Amino acid sequence: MPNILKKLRKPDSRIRIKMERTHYGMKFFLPESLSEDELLRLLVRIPTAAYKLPEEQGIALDFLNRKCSRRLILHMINSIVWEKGIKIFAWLSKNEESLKLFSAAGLSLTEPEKIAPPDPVLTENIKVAEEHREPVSALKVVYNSMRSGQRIESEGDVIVWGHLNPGAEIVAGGSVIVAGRLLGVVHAGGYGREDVFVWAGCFETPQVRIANKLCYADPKTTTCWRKSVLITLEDGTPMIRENKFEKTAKEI
Amino acid sequence: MARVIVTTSGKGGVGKTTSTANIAAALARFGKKVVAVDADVGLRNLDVIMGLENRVVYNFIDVIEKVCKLNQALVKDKRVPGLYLLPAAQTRTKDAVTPDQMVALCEELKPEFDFILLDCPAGIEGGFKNAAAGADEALVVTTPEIPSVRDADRIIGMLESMGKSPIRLIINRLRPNMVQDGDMLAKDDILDVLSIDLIGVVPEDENVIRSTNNGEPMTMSLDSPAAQAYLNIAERLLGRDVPLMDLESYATRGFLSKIKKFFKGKKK
Repeated sequence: MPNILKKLRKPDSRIRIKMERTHYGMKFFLPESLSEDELLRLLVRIPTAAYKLPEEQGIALDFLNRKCSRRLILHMINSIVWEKGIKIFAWLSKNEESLKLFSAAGLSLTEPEKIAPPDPVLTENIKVAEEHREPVSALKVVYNSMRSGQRIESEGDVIVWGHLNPGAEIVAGGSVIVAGRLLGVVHAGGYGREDVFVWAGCFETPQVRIANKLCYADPKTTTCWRKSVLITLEDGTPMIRENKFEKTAKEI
Repeated sequence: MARVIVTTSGKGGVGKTTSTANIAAALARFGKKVVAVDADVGLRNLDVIMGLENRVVYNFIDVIEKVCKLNQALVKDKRVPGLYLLPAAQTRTKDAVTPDQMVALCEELKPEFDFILLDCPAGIEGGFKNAAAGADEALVVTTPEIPSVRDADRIIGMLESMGKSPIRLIINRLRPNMVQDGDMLAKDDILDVLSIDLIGVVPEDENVIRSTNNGEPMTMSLDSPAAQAYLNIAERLLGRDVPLMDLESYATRGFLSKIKKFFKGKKK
């Protein structure tokens, strides 16, 4: 099929990820006919609860004959394995190059023969560690402007009560609010979350990142330039909305 | 006890050395005892701009390494009483000095002077850290260009984290004509981003090139807009309340420019 037709072709909604019950948990057969992005989208859409298995059980991913790219593996680890907290026992494939890539990344290539019973000491240690783990702060507030070269990385949400100057950077697992001028780089949903937003008091940055999406803004064509905006992802597409109710609020 | 002030910028070529030389000369003209320390080891220029390169024998690395005494390395400017230069080594690198040694050198200079001006090298690495280590206050020089403002912002952040205060801004090489035409960042645009106190605006002036090549800081004799701006900065450093220069008057242009502007305005 010519490339142009491939691009125009809509993904077949009937294509599903086949799941099989195994002695170690589950085995996912990942269809080859889907593009990498479509496959990722499909895996992300599976509710986190569906990945939940008993503690000693896990999942094997079978890529069949697909030639996997580094990008796909990276995104799978980032958006599926870490984000949903699942245990992958094996990365299977019939494609030699994919197997080489898995091996180079140190991933297990064989399905477990039998499950070892959980080590009671280890289980107890994990419980103790979980109990004493320091809570991750869900919100980080910066009460001044961030200057060029300054960087914040947070697992939760970030609020900058000032400007984000050019050359300053925020990477947040959650959403980001810059109350003043947004001139630097913001990455909301830096670990793959798509249900996040960026709110800027004055939007003046040429680039915003949300989850795995990169959005560019041209000052000459962006109507929201230097305005108060909200940026979100809707069905995987970045959306920018101008604050048009400010005047009404002032009138009140 | 001297006030130790570092002149820095982040970006190169914005006028740190020129500013240091002129402010030092202006402060000396106001009767203060001033030493300008060239902290740009390996790329020294302050001696050339001050016209003292022929009289340099020792440098501050020699002082630190105890090759000579401090008084032997200090070069006295005979044109202005109270003005001294402590040159940098041209044949060494910035690793030849540590921040602690720089602090010790400044401590040694403090009882002898009213002002110690440290001319910082460009960049944010060791050279900057050494120069800034010895200082209490900072003058950040920027030109009205986006890269320069961004680098200044970076430097201000680093100076703030080092606890330097006050940190004040010099906007150098401003062209009022270009600002009026909207082709150059205006003073307020820069202050909006950098959010620090402004100590002076120095207009673009060809006398700067002339004085640099002649080895005579403008504030010593020449009557020019830039010289006046540097004199004003020196006065503000002394705590005097001097209003900012009216740079609009320097924007007055010739007949042809006015016609050009008229038609440019009509197009809009």
